[in-house]
Amino acid sequence: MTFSKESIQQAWQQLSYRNVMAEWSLYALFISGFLLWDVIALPWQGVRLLLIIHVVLSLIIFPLYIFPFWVSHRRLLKKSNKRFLRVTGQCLDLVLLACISSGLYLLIQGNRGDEFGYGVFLVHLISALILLPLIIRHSARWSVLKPIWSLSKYVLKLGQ
Amino acid sequence: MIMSVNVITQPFIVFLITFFFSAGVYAESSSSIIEKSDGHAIYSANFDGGSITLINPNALMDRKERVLGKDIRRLALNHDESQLLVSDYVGEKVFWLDSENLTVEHELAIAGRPFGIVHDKQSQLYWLTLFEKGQLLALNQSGDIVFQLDTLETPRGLALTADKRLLVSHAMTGQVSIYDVSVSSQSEEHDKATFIELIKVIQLATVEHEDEFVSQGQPRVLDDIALSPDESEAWLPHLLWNFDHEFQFQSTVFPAISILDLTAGKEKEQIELRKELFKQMNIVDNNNRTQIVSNPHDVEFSADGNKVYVTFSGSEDLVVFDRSRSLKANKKRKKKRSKRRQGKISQGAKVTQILRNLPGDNPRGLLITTSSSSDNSNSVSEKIYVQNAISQDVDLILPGKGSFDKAKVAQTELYKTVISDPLKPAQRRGAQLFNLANNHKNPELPMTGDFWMSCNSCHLDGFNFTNKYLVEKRGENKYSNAILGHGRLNKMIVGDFLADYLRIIQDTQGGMGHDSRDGAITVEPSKPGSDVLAMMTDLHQYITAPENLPRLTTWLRLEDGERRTVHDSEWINSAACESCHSDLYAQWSDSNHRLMGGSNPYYAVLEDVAAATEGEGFRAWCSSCHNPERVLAGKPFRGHQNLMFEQQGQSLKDELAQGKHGAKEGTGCLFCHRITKLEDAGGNAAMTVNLKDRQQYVFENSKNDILNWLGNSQINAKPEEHKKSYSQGFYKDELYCKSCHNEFSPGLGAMIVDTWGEWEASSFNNPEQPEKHKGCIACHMHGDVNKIGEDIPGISTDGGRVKDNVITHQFSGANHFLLGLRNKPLEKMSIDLLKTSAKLEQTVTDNSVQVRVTNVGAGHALPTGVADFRQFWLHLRVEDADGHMVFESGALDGDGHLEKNARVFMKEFGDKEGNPVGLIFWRYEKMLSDTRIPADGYRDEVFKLPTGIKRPLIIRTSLMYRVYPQWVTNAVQKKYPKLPNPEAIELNSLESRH
Repeated sequence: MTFSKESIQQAWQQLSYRNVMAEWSLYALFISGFLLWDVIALPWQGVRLLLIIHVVLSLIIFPLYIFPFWVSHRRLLKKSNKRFLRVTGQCLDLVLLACISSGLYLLIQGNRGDEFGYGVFLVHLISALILLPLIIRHSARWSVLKPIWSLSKYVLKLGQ
Repeated sequence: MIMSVNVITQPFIVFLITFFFSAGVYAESSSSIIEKSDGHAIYSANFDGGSITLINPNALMDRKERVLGKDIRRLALNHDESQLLVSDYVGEKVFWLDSENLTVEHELAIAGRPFGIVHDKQSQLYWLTLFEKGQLLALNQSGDIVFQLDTLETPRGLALTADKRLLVSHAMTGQVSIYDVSVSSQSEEHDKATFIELIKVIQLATVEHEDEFVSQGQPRVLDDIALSPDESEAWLPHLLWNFDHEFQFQSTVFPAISILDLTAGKEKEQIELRKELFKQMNIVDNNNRTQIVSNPHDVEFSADGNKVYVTFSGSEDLVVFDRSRSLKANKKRKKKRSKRRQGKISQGAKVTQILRNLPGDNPRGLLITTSSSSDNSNSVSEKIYVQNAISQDVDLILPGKGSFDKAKVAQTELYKTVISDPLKPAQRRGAQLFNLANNHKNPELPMTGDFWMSCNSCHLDGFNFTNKYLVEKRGENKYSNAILGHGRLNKMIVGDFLADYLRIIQDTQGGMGHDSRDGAITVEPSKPGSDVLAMMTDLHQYITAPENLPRLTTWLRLEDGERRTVHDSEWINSAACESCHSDLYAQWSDSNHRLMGGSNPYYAVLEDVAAATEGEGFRAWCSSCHNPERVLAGKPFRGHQNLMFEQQGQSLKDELAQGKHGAKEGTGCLFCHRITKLEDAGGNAAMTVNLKDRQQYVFENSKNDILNWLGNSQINAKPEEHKKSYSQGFYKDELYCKSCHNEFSPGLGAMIVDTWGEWEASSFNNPEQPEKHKGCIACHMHGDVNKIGEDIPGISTDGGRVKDNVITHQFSGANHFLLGLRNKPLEKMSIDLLKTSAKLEQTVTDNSVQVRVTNVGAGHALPTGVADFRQFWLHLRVEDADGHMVFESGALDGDGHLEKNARVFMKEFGDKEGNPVGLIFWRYEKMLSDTRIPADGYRDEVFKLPTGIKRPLIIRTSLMYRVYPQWVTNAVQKKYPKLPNPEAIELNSLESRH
């Protein structure tokens, strides 16, 4: 079995479009991280499991799914004909960068009490809170959540 | 017709009696056995049976039992009797239960030994005492605390009068607080000022007589408060501790019932009415001896108030007082008697019956129920239920019908309160022996002489914080007898516990044949028979129960008692903490708090001496503070490694690199930071360590490097739970340090080291003015000893926030020497601290020099701790006009020994005969001398100079200090030849010309 340059380029191009795993991974990271927020106040036994899940997911699925998609997808940020997608995409690019770099800092250095650590924590939290709605909106037409929107529309119709 | 009148009148009479005389309408008293007002349900709190039981006294098969916790002490019904509140004294919880089916509606963990409960029907609040914590709580019916108030020490029993006075008995101080809680019914703002008001504190009188065999002593072990039906009096059963002389069973503990006059606004003790042995309690037996009763527990009044019934849980009696004659005497014959018996004061109600040999073991709870008589005679019949705590059953007693009719046992073991006893049979038998003072139970081998006392008469509820009241502030003359506990111990209990138990029982309680008047066989403690051994083994089972003294000679405890030891590997290597707490690790790793076991040669030699003289088990007394991790891991008390020169905890780092954890000498990070409970027993490691309930992160302590990194990363990323897991509110509380820096000899109870007591009495203890208050850490865990009192900013976690005042972990103190073997800068801190402790003044008269040494810097005596070894002394040198030394005091000879007549500030311990105890300091029974300089105090030393010396004189005075005398170092160097001699350092000096 041989891989030609074209086939690799094609796969790379394909990767940059709708990527179900990357999207699911982002949602999984968001939910596992969001539930760690003190405001949610889950019991410790839940928090400790979520914490390790969040960390392990970050370490495994981010490089496996999100990072390749992100890099391959960046091409579209400039080339896309749709302004909305270009703008939200560029915003996402920055927010994701903030979220990932702050997450890496928290993993390696941590938030041990000094002001910088706390600032990084805030960046991670806020960027994640921005990231989620932005992704949902940006990928609305191709989102893995589309069936949910369709279902909710259907339920609303039934209600009327 | 007559019949129908009876049918109508009987309930009415019952109602009237109940309404006017019974304390059950508004008045409430905390109790372990209570009845529903319809008479169809009796509830009992089953003590260490751990459950409560509901029974229908009219249909005994109709029975429910609910297991709740460990030691259920008191219960109360709410206003509509739909709910019960129950206190678990050892489990430290309260439960709200449905009174019908005993299901738990709410449950709340409340630290501090919840005990007494009453319910206020008007405000619909429960009042609860926290015996150990010294608090009074108001709880609503929804499972919440609505109000919390600090009280005087040891609040235990409760009673609530109809006019909303809440009486609180203080068990270990002999006081009764009276609060006005009338506002609590209306108050919505649950703050101190509007919710409850302290009206009065009554201190029960301490009476002393020259003749020690007369009833006397300090009122102690208060609990129940019984209100008379008309609420004019409160009766408080308790003991009188007469500890001002050597223990002798007929003169050490006396039973008493104190009477309070409850006239509103004029509440006071009626000392002349106090019920005492040989006075109001003076029933003579066939041998013409006063029948001794012991450990009064619960008091109840008959509905008409004419009779008072009291359980005596030690001697196992029900005692009946007849108030009717004293009441009549007071009312009708007042004038007549005053003529006949001028000057004589009425002693009030007297005992008319001692119902001896009650069935069951350890009668405590008492309930009197009232119902209309079945014989249609318009009378009201009463039933007395006696709850036995140890045999876990209830007996039925019928009272006498008139003044001269006697109460009788109607039914033995009416019902069992506990079906499945959580205690093992041997432990249960041990608990019985601990509480037993009934000589009829085992006449040949009784636990006491003539029913006088049980172990529980002093060791209330076993071994717990109340021990403090046995060993502290007793005002003993330590020069004549420093022993506050049991003398004549062979091996400090732990080395020969069965024989020493026997000696204690004989010498203190008069048992095991010490008092042989009633046929007891005199037991030779060193040669006990098999039956005696079996008894003592059972007693040992109780004494070493998890909530008592599981390690016998030390008060160190583990978790909740579910396991005896931890696995060695649970002790996380302290070097693991270095990666984030590098500064603190660096300070601690060289400190004496780390290397204070086998690496402290002085300690190691002394521990060996202790083991050689008292038995191997006695090492635990020392090791509980010096090697607590090993003690709790069940390892030999001391390792063989000596690391006295090791710097920065290198061996710990090496082991961590190999993934090794395990118990180490000294107090490691995990040990100190997982002490989860302090019990102020007076010292001796009275603390509980909990390793199992700490919140851990996944992979936190994994031996795999990658997983371990993941675990640590999680801690760093979200450290709040980590911080919470290793922090306790009491870190700044001086009691935390007291646990190990106060020592008393086990069994003997002589206070060997009382650093906390010295500090408590000093001006450093000033919580009212926080800016002047200085606790232990203010000096000994301070970043700059030259700036004590000032905040020193710093970090405790790498990358952590800068704290206003960082608590450092080098533990600067008196033992600079061993610290200096590893770390000179830290040694300098200790020496600098020592130099701040005292100042010198000298006054010269014609022929003498007076030197005053004032303790200006230490919040304790100088020296404290092992002040029988520490040497503070004055070195005085006088030179004449020609420069010749004409006088010298306090010089060291060529071998380093201090001259005999030097003025030394230290204490010297002696044995019973007054000989110095030397290294065997735990055998201290008499203080030979105590020349220490108290906190805030000074000592003057006068030196006579030779006559005819040529003036002017140059007088130089130095305050010198050496950590150990040369003779001790010489002894230690025989085993540890590498140990250098500690140098004598000059702390302060003066020079003047005269």
